[in-house]
Amino acid sequence: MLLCGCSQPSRSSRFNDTRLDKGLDAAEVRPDQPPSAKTLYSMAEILATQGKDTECEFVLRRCVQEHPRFTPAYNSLAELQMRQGRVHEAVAVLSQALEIRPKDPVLLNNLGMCLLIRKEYGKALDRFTQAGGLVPESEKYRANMAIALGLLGRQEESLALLEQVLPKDKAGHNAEVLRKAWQRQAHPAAEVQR
Amino acid sequence: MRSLGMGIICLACVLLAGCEGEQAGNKAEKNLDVELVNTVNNIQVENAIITQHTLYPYHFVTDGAGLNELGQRDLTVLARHFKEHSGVLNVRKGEAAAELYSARVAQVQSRLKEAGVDVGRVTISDGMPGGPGMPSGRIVTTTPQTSGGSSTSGSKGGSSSGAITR
Repeated sequence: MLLCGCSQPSRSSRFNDTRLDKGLDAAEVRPDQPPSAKTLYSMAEILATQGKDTECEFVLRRCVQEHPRFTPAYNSLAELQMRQGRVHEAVAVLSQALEIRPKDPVLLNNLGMCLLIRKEYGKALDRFTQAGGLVPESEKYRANMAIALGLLGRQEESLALLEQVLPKDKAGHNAEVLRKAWQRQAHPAAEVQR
Repeated sequence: MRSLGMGIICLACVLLAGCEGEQAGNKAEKNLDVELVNTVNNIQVENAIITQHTLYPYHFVTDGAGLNELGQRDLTVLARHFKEHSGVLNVRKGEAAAELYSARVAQVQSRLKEAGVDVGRVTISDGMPGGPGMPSGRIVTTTPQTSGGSSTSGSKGGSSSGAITR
């Protein structure tokens, strides 16, 4: 009775208030009402945990199509594509999302990661730097900048950034790992000989 | 029997309301935790920026003299520091041509002035962050001799009296 009592006034006021959006009421009643972005996204998450990638991708694509401003769906779709080694498609999805929200640091960082995997370190650095500019206190974005700089052979800058986010010994260790990775790419012949 | 039913419904309502209140409380607590972590990170990063007192090529627009968004933010942190302390601000030249480097230094000086920093107390050079100093020939702007002794030189010996230590 108490529960009914609570819900009663709102229901009655909804019907009495002529200023309310009638379309909303109609949509609520309509059985074929399209699912919200959150519903689709939750469904995709469940499918992903069940390992149903094909179904998950279908739901995420639908989410992107029907709710183009809902950016988490782009990130999840790109993540799924990355997992499957479809890096170029992931880059396309994230670039599409950035056309809608060009100042989204998560999208920028994720695009940077894709570019890093494509060995486009300069472009990756640009994206990480943009993300870092938007959230300057983020250690993650600065660390990712350090990776891109290290792989570009800009060791001093890389170390400086690592020292901003890590204890000195760990920063030095990571910088050394990056330096070796860069050396391996820059001078593959020397590595083979070794 | 009827009153028992009513009692159960009332109890259910109270419990539901309690759960909702608890959820809202948890959310607020979580937000507070996130904010606290962000603040701590911010302090750590800002301290590191001040310790390094160095602007790198990554702070600038590629092949340009202007500071990017991250560069502007990091320079704001340094400007806050240099408002109260004298010292050396390193602007690393990297691969930049001499002309571009000069333009970058000019840009940094102008930004410091805008932020209310007495640029006479700040030496801008191409030194290493907190390192052993830099060759005097590479100093771009030197502190005027008349500025009252709180200034630092860019000669060997490194960090300044402005609490910039590493």
